[in-house]
Amino acid sequence: MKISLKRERKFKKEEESWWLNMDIYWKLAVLLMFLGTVLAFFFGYRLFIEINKELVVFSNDANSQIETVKKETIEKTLQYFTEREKKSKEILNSPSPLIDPSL
Amino acid sequence: MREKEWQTEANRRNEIKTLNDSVKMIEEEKIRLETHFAKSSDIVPFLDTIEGLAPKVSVETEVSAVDVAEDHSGLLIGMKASGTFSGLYKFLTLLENSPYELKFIGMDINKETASKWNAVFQIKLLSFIE
Repeated sequence: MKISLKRERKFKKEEESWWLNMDIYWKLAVLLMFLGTVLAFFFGYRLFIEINKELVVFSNDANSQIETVKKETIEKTLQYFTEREKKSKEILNSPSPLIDPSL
Repeated sequence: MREKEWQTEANRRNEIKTLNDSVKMIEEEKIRLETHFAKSSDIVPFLDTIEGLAPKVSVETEVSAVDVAEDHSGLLIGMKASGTFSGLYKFLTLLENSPYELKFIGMDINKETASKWNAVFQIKLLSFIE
């Protein structure tokens, strides 16, 4: 009878200490997860701010000049190609000005 | 300080809006102008155009080589063509007046039969965007 009481006590002590340790680990895990979540939010916000910036097309410097092409220049170039197209049609509809030199 | 920043941002937005309106105004010209350039990612329309000129003057053509120039100043195209002398002449003049800006690097022409001539020529596409 005496022996059995001793055994019971020993078992109770072990059980208590194991539960105590589990509690510490759980707290530690929750803390780490909380810290991880906070860090994720922080880096996510930083990344959002970084990519949310608009592309700066113009320089704020008043002296800087942007290279532009005038509409007249484009029209002139297109006119040049239109004339070439007309010339191509003329070539197709007219006989060749050169004859075979070997004949 | 905040007010100045806001003013700069407002000015910038106005400039972007003006630029967008200007681009819309010349949209048609832009599309037309783009047809005269060949991009490295899409040179097929250009090759189709120059090869498409040959049947109009009864000439057979074949593109033998396509390569970017060493100095990146254009696209080099090697072509073989065969047909009558006048047909080849017409084909060359059509190439000269094609929708693309071309430069003739070299040409070799020889007679095969009584009426058939063979030509090998190299041209450079100057309106090429890498």
